Amino acid sequence: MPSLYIVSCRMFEDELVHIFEEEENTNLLIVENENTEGIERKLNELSIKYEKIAPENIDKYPGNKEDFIVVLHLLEFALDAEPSLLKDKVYKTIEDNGKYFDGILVFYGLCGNVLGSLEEDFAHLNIPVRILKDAYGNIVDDCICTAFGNRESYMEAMQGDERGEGTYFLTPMQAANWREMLVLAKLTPDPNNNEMTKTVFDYSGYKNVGKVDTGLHYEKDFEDTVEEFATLFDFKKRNFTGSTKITDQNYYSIKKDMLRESGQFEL
Amino acid sequence: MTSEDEILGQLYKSFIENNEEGVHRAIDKWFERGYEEKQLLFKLIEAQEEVARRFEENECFLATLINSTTILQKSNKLITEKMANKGFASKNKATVVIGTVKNDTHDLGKNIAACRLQIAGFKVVDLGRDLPTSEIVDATINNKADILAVSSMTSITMDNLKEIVDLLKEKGYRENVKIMVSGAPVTKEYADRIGADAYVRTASEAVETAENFISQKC
Repeated sequence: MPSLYIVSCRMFEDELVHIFEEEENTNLLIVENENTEGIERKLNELSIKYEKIAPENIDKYPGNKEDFIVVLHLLEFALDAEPSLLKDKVYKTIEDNGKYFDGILVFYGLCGNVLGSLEEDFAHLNIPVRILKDAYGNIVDDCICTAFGNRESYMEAMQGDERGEGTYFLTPMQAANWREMLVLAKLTPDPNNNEMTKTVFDYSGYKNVGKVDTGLHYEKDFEDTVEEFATLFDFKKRNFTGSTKITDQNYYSIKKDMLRESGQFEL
Repeated sequence: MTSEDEILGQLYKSFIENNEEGVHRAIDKWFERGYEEKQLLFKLIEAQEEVARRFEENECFLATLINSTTILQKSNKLITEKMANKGFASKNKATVVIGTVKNDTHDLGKNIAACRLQIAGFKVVDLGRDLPTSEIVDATINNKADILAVSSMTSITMDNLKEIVDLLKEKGYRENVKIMVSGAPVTKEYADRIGADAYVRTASEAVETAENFISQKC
């Protein structure tokens, strides 16, 4: 059976868990690094089987050859705060390990417009290399756009009640990690200094918090965290319905193509 | 008596430390002693560039850059008022219309650029942020702008930059105005592709590019 290499931002942890919760006959291997704690906890809670693999052994992945093999490589949060660093990291990861697999799926979007040519740049690998796209074939902008399902819905949600008003969007994973994200995105050195954070939000015109419900409930405190966030920064709460459509479709699409290419057919 | 260098040193240090009062004290002293304002403005720019460098190189956080931008804007206003009181009327090099595109409220870079262009002697019409394409284009035409500076900080709003260039063409004003585009996801390739005249990454580059536009025109 073919093997798929998923290179993903940690922010898609929940979407990945959702995929593997639904999957059968798939051998999941997680590349050991400092970004796997959250996903391991969630997989364990759901009794989803996986194995861990050391980065230096990525070319020797074990597994049942009867199963579709997925090697998941999670990268740290907020690399998009420095787009060139994000590009270097994603490209280096693929350059180092892509050759050992039959397909590569990158769980990132344009992320500051640095990953738009990823598919062309790795065409020489002669395997399917894909980045997250919406149903129209457009590369998604970022993880929020992914949750909205397409650019139009995202754009619509961005418009505040009044001009110049911004909305700070929180998916369940964004909400669970908002303090860490503020520091990584260089907004503030101290995520508990609400006054300083509020100054930054005010300056940037943020007046609302957008709760984007993807329908995933692996993060148990989503609702409470969004409420807390709204209260701390005196934001109006706006509710949006998101989904896992994009991540699901991109995963199943590459899997189907890889199985077909290898002469296997998905049951 | 406080020497010029001492006051400039105070100004620089206070600015870096986000000490607004200290900066204004230094400006007051400078004018009390009747020194020439050019040196003061140079020092202010030098200090602003140092804060921007520290932010780029992860030595400080956004909050510091925001505070320094507010201090820069207020200081520039104070200096302009003091110069006006002394009877100096600034001669504008050219008119720059500046703003951020629709749905983009991130205007920190735009604010720094607007202030720096003003200090460099341009007449700046700052439209603000989250501006519909038609509003930017109409303001460009109505103000007879020589230069239009527009930014988009997100890839999702970036297509508005192309819309602006296209609408200026449609309204027959494209040949009259030089367009510079900026923002985190914007690149030189993108600027070339949409038919803008320049891509700028920083406020310093915006000033340098504006100066180049004007010298080309002369």
